[in-house]
Amino acid sequence: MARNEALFEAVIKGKRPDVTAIVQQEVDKGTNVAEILMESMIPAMAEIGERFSRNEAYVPEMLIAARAMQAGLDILDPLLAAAGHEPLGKVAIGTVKGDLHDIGKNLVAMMLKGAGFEVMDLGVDCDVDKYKDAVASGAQAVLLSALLTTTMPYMKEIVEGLKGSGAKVLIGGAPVTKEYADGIGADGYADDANTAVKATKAALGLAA
Amino acid sequence: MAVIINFEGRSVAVESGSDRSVLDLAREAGWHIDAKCGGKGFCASCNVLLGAGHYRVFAEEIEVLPEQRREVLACQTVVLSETAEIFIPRSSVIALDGARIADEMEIPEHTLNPRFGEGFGIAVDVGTTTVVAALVDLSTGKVVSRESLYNQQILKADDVVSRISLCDDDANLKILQELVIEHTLNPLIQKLCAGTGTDKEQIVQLAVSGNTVMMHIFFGVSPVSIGVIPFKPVSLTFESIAVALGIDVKPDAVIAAVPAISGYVGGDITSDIFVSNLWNQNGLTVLIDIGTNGEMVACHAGQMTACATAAGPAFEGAGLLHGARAASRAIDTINYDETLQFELTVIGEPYPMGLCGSAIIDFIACGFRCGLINAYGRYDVEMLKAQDCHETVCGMHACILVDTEQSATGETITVTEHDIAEILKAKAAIYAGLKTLLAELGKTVQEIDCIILAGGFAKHINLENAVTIGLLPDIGIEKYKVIGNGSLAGAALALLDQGTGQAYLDIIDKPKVITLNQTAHFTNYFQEALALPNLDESDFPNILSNH
Ligand code: B12
Ligand code: FES
Repeated sequence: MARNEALFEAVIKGKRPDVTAIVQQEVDKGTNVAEILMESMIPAMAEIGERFSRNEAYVPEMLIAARAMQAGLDILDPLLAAAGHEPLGKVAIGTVKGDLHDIGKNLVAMMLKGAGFEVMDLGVDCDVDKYKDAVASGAQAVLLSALLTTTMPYMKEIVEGLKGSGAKVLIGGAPVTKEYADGIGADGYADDANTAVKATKAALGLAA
Repeated sequence: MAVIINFEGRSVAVESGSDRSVLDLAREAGWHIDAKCGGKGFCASCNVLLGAGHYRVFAEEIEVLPEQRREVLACQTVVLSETAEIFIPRSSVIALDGARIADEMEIPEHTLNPRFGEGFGIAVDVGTTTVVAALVDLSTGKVVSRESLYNQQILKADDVVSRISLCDDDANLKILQELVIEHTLNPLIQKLCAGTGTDKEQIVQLAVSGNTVMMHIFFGVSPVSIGVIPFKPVSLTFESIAVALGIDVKPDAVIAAVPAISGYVGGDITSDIFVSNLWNQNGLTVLIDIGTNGEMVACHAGQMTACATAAGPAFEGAGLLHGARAASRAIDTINYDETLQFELTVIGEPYPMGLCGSAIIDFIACGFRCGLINAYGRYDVEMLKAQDCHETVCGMHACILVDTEQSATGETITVTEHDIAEILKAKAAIYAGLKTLLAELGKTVQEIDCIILAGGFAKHINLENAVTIGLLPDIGIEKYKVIGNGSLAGAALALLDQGTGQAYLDIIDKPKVITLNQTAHFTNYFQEALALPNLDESDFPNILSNH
C-alpha cells in the first residue's frame, strides 16, 4: 500500500471521525497495520510537525491533528503489538512530581512513537523513583515534562538522581528554557514536540 | 559604580551593587520593567538593550563595545564593569497610569447591620492585577468613594503561580506583602481619605476579598502549598488587625478576608456567589469569572460544583506580540468586514500602542465571520495581501491593524497567527472547563438557563463576539447577566451587614470542587474547543448556521 491520501489528509486536518472510519476500513480489508501507520499516519504527523517548525502550523492545529491520530492509534495499537516490530530505541516520558499537565507530554510521546521509538508513558506526578524504575527496565533516555513554575525545580532532583545511570535526560514544557536545561545538567531540551524527537535522537547518537 | 539607564530620551544614573540584576537597577531608576515570570528568565517580557560595558548574562560573561547593542533579559543580567549603559525599549515597560479598572459594582439589597455602628470601613477587592478599594460610611451604609490601582506585585510577577514560586523564600513573601499593602492599599486609602476629607483614624474595619493566593500573601502567610499537589491552602479564612499588617488606618481596626472555597477557588468567588444569589436561581445557572484563573461555579437544584480552568493571562495581553493591558493607549474594540477596513477605539489617547483582551476577541470574531481567519485560527494570506495588510513577523503571518504613522510606538501594530493560537488555547481552557463542570452534573451547555459573568473583563467584552469565537456557549445573549465586580460588592456587604459573615461560611463548603485533570472529559473538550468556534459543531448551531 502506498500512502492513503485520504487518511493522510484526515490526520492533518484533524478529522477524527474520518480517521477512525478509514483506518477501520483498511483494517477490515486486511491491509498490513504497520503499513497504515508508517505510510500514511506517521508521515501526516511528521508533516504537521514540520509545518510547526516552519511557523506554518501552531499548537491548536497540532493538538487537533494529534487527537485524530490518537483515534487511529487506538484501533491499531493492539494489532501492532501482536505483529511486533523492531523499535529505534526505548525511551520513557512522564510529567514531574506535583504536576498533572499531560497534553504536551502526550503530544511528545506520540511524535516519538511516530518516529519509531518504543515509548514507556509514566503518566503524571512522577517522582525520581518512577524514572529510575524506567531506566532499570531498559529506557535509554527519559523525558521530563513540567508546565508549572512550581514543579520545574524538581527536574533538577531527577537529573541528579539519574546521574551515573547511563540514561540520557531530556526536559521540556512551557516554562522550561535551554538555559535552565543546561544549568541543571540535562542532556537535551526542546521547546516543541517536533524538536523533541530530534533532540532525543541527538542525545542517543542516532542519525537525524 | 554608575550605570546609566535610558528610557524615552531620559537618563538616570544608579549605583550598581554586587549581584543586582539590571531589572532591579532599572526599577531603582524609576522604570517598571515588565517581569511576567517573576524574573525567572523564561518569559522574555523584560528585554533590554545593553550598551558599552562588561556584563554577566545567565552564566556567561560578555563585553559590549561602544556603539554596539546587545539584547538581553534584564532579570538574568548583572553589570560587572565600573560603568555601563542600558537602554529600555518601551515595550518592556509597564505603564502604571490610565488603567481601565472595573470598579462598578451592584450591592444587592441588604439590611444595614454593621459590626461597628459608626466610623468608616473600607471594602477591598485584591485582584492579581488590580486592587480596588471603596470607602463605606458605616453609619449611613453609603459607599462614599472608590479608588483603584494596579496591584504593585505585578512588578514582580504576573500570574498567581509565578507569585507562589517567588514565595519559596520568606524575604520574598515579605516583599510581596509590602507591595500589596504599603505600595498599593495604603496609597489607595490615602487617596480615599484625601478625596473625601476623612480622617484615617475613623476607619475602624476593613473587609478584603480576593483569590486564595492573594489572601495568603496579604496576611503574610506563605502560599507555597497551593502551588503543588494537592493544592491545599494553609487556611480558608484570615483575620488580623491593621497595625499587624502595616495598614495605615486606626491601629486596632479589624481586617477580615471573605473566606475561600479552595486553593484555586477563592473568596472573590464566594463573594460572587453571594452577590448573585446563585444558589437561589431557578434551573441551571453558571457563574464564570473570565480571567487568568477562569473560576466557575455551576448550580442546579441547590447543588453547586466549582473549578478553576487556568486559562492564563492571554486575555490580559500577555504572550501576544502587541498585547497590552486594558490601560491608556490600548485598542479596546475592533470591527471590520472582508474589506479589512479596521474600525478601532483606543482607551484614553488617540494613538494606540497595542491591543487588549476585548479587542483581540473582536478581531478574531470579525475575522472568522468574514473569512479572514479559518476554523484553525489561520489567515487567508491572499486576502491579507490583497488588502495590503500582510506582514511577516519572525517568520509568521501577521495582519497589520495600525500602520506606523497611526501607532504610538512608531512601529506597526499587528496580530500574528501565533497570537491567535494563544487566544485559542485560553478560550479553549475556559470553554472546556465549563463543559466538564456541567458533565459532572450530568448536564450540557444547551441546558443552561442563565450565565452570570463576574469580574472586570466581562464588563468590557462584546458578548456576541465572545460566543462567535467559542469562548462562551451559544445559548442566546438574553441568557447572559453581567454583574461587574462582585468581589468588591461582597467585601462591602461584609461591612454593611455582619450577618453576611456567617452566610459566607455557609457558602464555602457547599460547592464540590472538581480537579479538571482527574475528569475523563477535560482533555477531549479542550482539544475540541481549540477550533473556531468548536470542533463539536452541535454546540454552536447559531454561529455555524450564519457562517
Ligand atoms: C490545559 C491547561 C490545564 C489543564 C490540564 C489538562 C491536562 N490534562 O494536561 C487543567 C485545567 C487541568 C490545568 C490545571 C492547572 N493549571 Co494549567 N494550563 C493549561 C493551559 C491552558 C494549556 C497547557 C497546554 O496543554 N498547552 C498545550 C501543550 C501542547 O503545550 P505544552 O504543554 O507546553 O507542550 C509543548 C512543549 O512545551 C513541549 N514539551 C512539553 N513537554 C515536554 C517534555 C520534553 C522532554 C520535551 C523535550 C518537550 C516538551 O512540547 C509540547 C508540544 O509542542 C495553560 C495556559 C496556556 N494558555 O498555555 C495553563 C497553565 C500551564 N496552567 C497553569 C496553572 C496555574 C494550573 C493550576 C495550578 C491552577 C488551576 N487554576 O487549577 C492547575 C494545576 C494542575 C497541576 N498540578 O498540574 C498556569 C501555570 C503558571 C505558572 N506560572 O506556572 C498556566 C500557564 C496558565 C496560567 N498562566 O495561569 N491546566
Ligand atoms: S524573563 Fe521573565 S522577567 Fe525576565
